[in-house]
Amino acid sequence: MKKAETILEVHDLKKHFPIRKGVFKSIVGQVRAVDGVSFSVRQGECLGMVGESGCGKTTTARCVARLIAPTSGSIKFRVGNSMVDLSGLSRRELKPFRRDIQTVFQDPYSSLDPRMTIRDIVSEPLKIQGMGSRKEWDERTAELLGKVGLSSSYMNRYPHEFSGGQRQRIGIARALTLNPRLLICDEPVSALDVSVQAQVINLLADLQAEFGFTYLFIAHDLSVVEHVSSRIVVMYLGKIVEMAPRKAIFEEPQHPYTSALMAAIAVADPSTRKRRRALEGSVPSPANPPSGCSFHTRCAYAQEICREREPKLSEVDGREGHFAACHFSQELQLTGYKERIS
Amino acid sequence: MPNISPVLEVKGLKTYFQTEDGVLRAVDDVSFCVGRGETLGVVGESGCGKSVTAKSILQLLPRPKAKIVSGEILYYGSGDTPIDIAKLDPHGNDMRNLRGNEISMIFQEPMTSLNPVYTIGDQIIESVCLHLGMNKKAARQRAIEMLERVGIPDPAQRVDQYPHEFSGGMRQRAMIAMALSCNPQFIIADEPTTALDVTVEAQIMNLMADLQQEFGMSIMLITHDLGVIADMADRVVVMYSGTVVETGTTEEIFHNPRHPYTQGLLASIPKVGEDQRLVAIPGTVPNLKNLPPNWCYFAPRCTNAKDRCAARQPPLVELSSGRMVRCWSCAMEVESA
Repeated sequence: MKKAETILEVHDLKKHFPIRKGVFKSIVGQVRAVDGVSFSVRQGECLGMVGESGCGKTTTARCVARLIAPTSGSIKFRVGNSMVDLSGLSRRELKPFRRDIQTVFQDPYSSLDPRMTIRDIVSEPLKIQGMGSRKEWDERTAELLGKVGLSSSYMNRYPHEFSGGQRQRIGIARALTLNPRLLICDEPVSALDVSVQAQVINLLADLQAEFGFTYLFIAHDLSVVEHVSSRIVVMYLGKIVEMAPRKAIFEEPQHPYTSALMAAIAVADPSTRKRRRALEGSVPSPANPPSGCSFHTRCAYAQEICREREPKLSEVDGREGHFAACHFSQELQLTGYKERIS
Repeated sequence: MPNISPVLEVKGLKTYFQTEDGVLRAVDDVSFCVGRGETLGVVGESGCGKSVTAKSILQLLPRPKAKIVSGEILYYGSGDTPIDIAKLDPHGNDMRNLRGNEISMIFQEPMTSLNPVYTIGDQIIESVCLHLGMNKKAARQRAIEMLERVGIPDPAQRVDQYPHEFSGGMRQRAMIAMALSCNPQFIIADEPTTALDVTVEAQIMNLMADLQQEFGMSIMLITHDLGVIADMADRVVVMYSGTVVETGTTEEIFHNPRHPYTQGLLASIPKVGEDQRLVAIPGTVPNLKNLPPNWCYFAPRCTNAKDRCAARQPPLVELSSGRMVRCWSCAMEVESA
């Protein structure tokens, strides 16, 4: 199989938020929300991103969509045969790229303007980009609503008239308006009811099959990410700790944190019931991350070296495409998800 | 296990809301019982009435909008004669003695259910003083003990901190400490881990299982997360649109679900290692304001709906002891047997 070309390449991305205190709002520290993240996304794949709250997954996504400016690092996006760095571009320079990268947000209740009709919401991107006529906007809106499984007769309604699942469909329709090449889904199903969640997941899969979209899919629900992604990135405290094809991450994790995450999954089958191995303690503050490996404070296998030297994210020997940031990934025998079902 | 002695028995509970658009049947003829020392899981989606059922048991309903219209909520406590909570005055002393003391509740959002202007300690001390009649000093000692018991490090310092100084998981632990501080017999946990990360969820669930072993209390665990139910519950009640649609042991519900809604729920959650397309339940969770009056409430979304489902509501039939299903196909089966 020919390797699909890289559509997005993020290198050493950092986003630090200043902590301001006192009357003069002087900067007293930095929250290292994203602290040196590198990954790439290939055309047509779905890259899943998991991690606990506060690990920097949403901030990474917001940087990639250039909704916020990164502190440093590069975000290269494919245009034709070359890669363009989006990280330093101004608002005006970014405008054409907005067509290519779109976001589906988590909360369908707060991400749709309650005073706009569905027609206005879905066609607004066309309006902003100055594309087409009013008639074409309506045609496009009707077409998109059909694609996401809503009747085009809903065009003149307002968001409050829809249920959560329907609103998320509207949010997806809006993201598709400009035919983006990269779709960032930030927790697209976590605000939805269980029975509706499956509908939206299936819709995203169908759209990918039909249009060949590339997804960056963020969720905290590991089984959802497992279901939709081809590769998965695990983040912890602003850094990537492991990146590998989906099956490998679940079955043969190479980082203790990934293994602990998998071992904490609640399996919806009482016959495999056993005590979940819970990770001790809580995530340290990203304003004051631990020295060395940021996971060493909670890691069962931590040694002296982990406190002193930060492990680099590197490919594990003999495992192509499997990257881990652990000094001992070669030696550790981690069980991960197998521990839950065996 | 209906043979073991119950700690709480709900019979034909109806809790209705008066709204501008008419009566809303939030809980409509719900019956179940919770055995001593057991964990009953209550599963359902938003608007199915699971939280309103919990609030009815504690008489915490918003008044005068919501009202228990009929039904009994029998609490067996330590004595043999049950108390019917539904008949108690929500503001009366009897109810106050039950709340916190005998029955207590762990709420979903620890940030909104803890008072931000009081320290964690103050909030635990308040209920301990009130219910156990301890003096301030002893109550403070009790608060520190409880915080330690739920795994909060440095409890002697943390007791004087405010909720915002706690992380989400720690706040939920503090909530549990507060709920347990008066040795209740029965705990209602309403989505206790929904706002938390998986690793913290596992910590909290392990903690609750340990505390249950130690104190022997009964738990009513309300959640929409089937993983948590499979992990914790002994028996399960599945609710839909204010009614109970299926009950059974956890094994029965997960391995042999009989109601199409339960089957649909189980099929619609992604399972690790299984790649096939998810089987989604079509349609959306119905709005309680406009339920089809005489229909089976699930019929509009049911792939197996027949004419009879739109003609009359199915009865809740008992397939075997403690195993109940509200579906016409099961009802016919029982009838013909």
